[in-house]
Amino acid sequence: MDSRTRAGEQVLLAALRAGDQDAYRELVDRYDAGLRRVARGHLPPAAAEEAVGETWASVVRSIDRFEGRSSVKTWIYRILLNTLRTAAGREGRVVPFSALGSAHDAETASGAPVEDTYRGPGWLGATPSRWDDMPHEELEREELLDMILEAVDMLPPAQREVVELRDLQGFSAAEAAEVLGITAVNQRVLLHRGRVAVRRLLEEYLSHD
Amino acid sequence: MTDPLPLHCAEVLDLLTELLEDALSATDRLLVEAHLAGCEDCRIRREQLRVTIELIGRAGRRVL
Repeated sequence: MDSRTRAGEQVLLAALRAGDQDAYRELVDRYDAGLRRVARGHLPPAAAEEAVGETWASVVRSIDRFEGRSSVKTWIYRILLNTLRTAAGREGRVVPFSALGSAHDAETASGAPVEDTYRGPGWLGATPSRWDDMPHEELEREELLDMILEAVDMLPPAQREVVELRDLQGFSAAEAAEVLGITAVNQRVLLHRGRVAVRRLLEEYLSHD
Repeated sequence: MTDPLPLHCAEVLDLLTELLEDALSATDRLLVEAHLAGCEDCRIRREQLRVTIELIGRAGRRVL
């Protein structure tokens, strides 16, 4: 975190600790949608909403105990991940979190072995098509961006978590690794596999245009 | 010490995210860049991955 960001964090923290409602509103505006996306990746909609609500309640209750060793953002997302684990345990679900390692990552959502997705046609074994000479409008269509979101949602859970945080929500590598409780190397492996899988779906989509 | 062997396309593809994240060792970076300099297909694949990452970010900004 650079010094300017750190200074901004200190101001925000002071406001939150003073119970400044505008500061809390700003926090919710900034992170609520992102938290909901992560939660919906793990729980049915109603349970996901509840988990996000519990997360915000925890933030309010715990703000005085937050020591500032991480950023406010990563702290809030860690609270969410812990809340999701607790909620998943209550529902008797298998918990598909990155921190469990690659065992849950071995297959794509469709059940195909990950190697087939990674080495699939259109990448290795074939001349790849150029996308950089495609008109900008083609790559900015809402339908295509919707497809991208679906592609991310369809990733194996561990890959989806990392791609969600890193590429969709703009977390840094260190932030994502901290939130998910995984190593930087593990985070990068999952990120790469997820990106490659989305790339493949994008290739298929563009080739049918 | 012998020179490291040149990389194959599959090995380069494995390293693309690390390349884009600037997370490669100096040696690996040189090997990847040497391969890319001589392999148009892999340069296209790198660009595809870069576009994929950009589009995921764009999709995220639409909904967040």
